[in-house]
Amino acid sequence: MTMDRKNYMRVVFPAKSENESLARILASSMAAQLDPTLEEISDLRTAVSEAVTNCIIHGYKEDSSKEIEMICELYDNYIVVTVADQGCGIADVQLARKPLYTTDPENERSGMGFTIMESFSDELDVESAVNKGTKVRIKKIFHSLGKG
Amino acid sequence: MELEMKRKGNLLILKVTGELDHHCADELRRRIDREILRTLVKDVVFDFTELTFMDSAGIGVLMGRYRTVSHLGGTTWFLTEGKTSYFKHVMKILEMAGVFNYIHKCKSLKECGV
Repeated sequence: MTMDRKNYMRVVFPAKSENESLARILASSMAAQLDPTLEEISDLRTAVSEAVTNCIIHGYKEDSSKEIEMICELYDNYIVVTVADQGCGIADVQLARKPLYTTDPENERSGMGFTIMESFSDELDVESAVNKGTKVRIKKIFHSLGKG
Repeated sequence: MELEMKRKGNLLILKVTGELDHHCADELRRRIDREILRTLVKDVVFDFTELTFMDSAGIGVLMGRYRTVSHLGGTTWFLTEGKTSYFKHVMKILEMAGVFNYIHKCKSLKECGV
């Protein structure tokens, strides 16, 4: 069954760490239109923050002249947030998704980004190509709203 | 993000409020490490009970300080008695990452020996 998209937005912002909070606010404000629980909103904020941080740290190696695109799509009882960069890409997505896997332990990266995105969303798709970029699609169902 | 640091004997109390993400993690690390080295305290306790946001950057900050403190022979504590609904989310993230295999939970500052 396909559901109608009720609302959407597409934003592009530079890969500056200040924009991690901007992205969370934008995505959670759109989700708030469905009136989910605070806990569901917290899950979404965390997952979006991890996705955007990954673009900044890994995709672009903290080069803030590069851009991140975020698309939020709102359906009856769920939201889909797509976060994409055109950075270095991930050679082995399966490996990167493993808990505690990090390419950068020196900078105290926990390697928990994908695990957190996975646990706090209902579906997580990762598409990546080396030197082309990475696209992460987070689907968060608001179970508090019933089946919609 | 705001950081409040208070020393009680051999214990450094680190209260972080507001939002803890990758954007402010570096500054947080630097300020805490400087204070640990300046005061030469033995133990530290983190108070995250009034955070309004935290992601995996919080895990990095905790584990990094744990390494420094245990290297100097001290103990790292974490206050678990938060009253906000967001604090449950903080605990969920930290439990998931397994940080309490290293960092000691405490219900109050008394448990940290002050």
